[in-house]
Amino acid sequence: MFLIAPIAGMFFATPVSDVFESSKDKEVRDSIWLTLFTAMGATLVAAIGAIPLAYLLARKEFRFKRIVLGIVDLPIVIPHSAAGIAILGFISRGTALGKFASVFGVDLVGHPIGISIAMAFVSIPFLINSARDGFMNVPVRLEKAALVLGASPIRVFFSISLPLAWKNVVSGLIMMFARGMSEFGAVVIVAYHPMVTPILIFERFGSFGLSYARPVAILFILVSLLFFIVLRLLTKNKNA
Amino acid sequence: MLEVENISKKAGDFSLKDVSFKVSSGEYFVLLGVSGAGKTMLLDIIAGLRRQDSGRIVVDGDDITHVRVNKRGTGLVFQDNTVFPHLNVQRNIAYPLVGKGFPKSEIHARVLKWAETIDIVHLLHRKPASLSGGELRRVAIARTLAMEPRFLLLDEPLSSLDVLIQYDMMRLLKKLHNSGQTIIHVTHDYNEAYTLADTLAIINSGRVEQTGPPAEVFQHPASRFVSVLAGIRNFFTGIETKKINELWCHTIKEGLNIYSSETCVQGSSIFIREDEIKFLQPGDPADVNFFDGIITDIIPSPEFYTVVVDAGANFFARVTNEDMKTMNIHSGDRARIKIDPNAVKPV
Repeated sequence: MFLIAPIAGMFFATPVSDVFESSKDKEVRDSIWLTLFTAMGATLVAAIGAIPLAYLLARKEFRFKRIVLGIVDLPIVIPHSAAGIAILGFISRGTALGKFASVFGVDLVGHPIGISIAMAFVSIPFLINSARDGFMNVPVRLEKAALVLGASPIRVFFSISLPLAWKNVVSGLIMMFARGMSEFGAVVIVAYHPMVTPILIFERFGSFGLSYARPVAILFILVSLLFFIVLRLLTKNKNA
Repeated sequence: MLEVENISKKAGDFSLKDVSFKVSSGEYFVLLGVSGAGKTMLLDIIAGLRRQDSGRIVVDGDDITHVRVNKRGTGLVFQDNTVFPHLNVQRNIAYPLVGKGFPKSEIHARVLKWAETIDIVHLLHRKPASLSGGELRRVAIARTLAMEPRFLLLDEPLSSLDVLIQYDMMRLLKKLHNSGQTIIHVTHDYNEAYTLADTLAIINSGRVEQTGPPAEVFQHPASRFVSVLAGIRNFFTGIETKKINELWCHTIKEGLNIYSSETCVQGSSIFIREDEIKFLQPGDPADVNFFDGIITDIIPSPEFYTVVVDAGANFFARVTNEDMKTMNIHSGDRARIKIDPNAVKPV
């Protein structure tokens, strides 16, 4: 009830016509597309490194492993505005990454790539932890059996470990994507413009009040729900 | 030929100690030992899943000690059915072939060939979750054979299968052996080992105690442990051994002497097969090796009874079902047993 009541109240308090009008607003549409695009980009690019890291954390014992696990969880526990400040110091023009991006004419601050970096920073623990749990549940004997059958370690990973951990990996990807989409604190510091939807909702609320912010919020919730349902359905057969 | 040379490996409190044996091409070699004897560890080392502390593994003259597991070409069927749960049976069997880059038609033909050999063609499109334990074991064997291994390593292949399926599996293993497949099979089951092995190695606490043809090993056990594995329970270690006339006298405990006609040395152990212990009727002549005692237990089995007689030490005697009817003996009765000195074998 505690979770449902505020959202249901918002839906009941907002006329459908207002939501429909918001969906025709180019600024709203652009921000939703930008949010989806940057969160998806952040998730897919981060997955390239995060999934192998999750596998290593599940399978290997090494010195300072507990420290690495603590670092992975760090973005969950630090305030996201502080995370935004930290990222800004990492991607601004004076930094190595900022200088590298400027070679290609890109200023990461205020750029969709910068937004993706901020989203990835705060949401990557969800992917790593979920994927690690999945890999830990894959019996090591199956991987050993594959090795004995002549498979290389890389083939064992892609043909045995990853498919068997797939359910957790997909859950992690969806959670990371969702967490990235909803991020406000870190993104607002890295890039107020172009506006992702959480910032647009904040701006509408600050400039015009609750009744102008609500339709955008509802539209964003509906789009988010639609995406998660589609993603779950797409992966359902694979998990079965 | 597979040559396992002086393999030693320490893992926690357990260690394999200087294990050596040879397996000829086409041989059915069985490693027999109780749980925790080091059988699985040894198979893992041969397959390359574990690295030994010392020793070598040589195949047809090539030292493969440091060859990586996926390059050894040694097939291992795990005890716990490691059939990949997300692949159907066909794709499981095809797994080692896909990595070798065969064309699809060739893979299909080979999968079919091994499925026919192992008699699982009807299972090819099933998922592992829908298979029984025996079917899973067959799939695991077919998948390993598909890689055409130099040696087929089997880790307790008949364990946790019901009796009828065990029989089918034994027939399958014999069929594979007859087709020329070299097999190294580890088990804790004496009957399984005796039925299948060309050569048997008894492993105990990480050490190979005796190697040879099963009949030879069980007729002439080299240690108490081997005797126990062979089902010999009348195994005694003398506190003193001395020659009296033409016989060797073993003092098992104060006042209990067993005579043997075979030459013994001081400290020899002796064993007596259960069917060599005879019950004397009142009035039967007795000169040496007769003992009076009390029947403490009568253990039935389908073919015979085992009668336990406490005559200062426990003697286990085998009595046929027919004899049992005529003898009319019961637990708690007094009994006199006799052992022919020729049946007392030194170890």
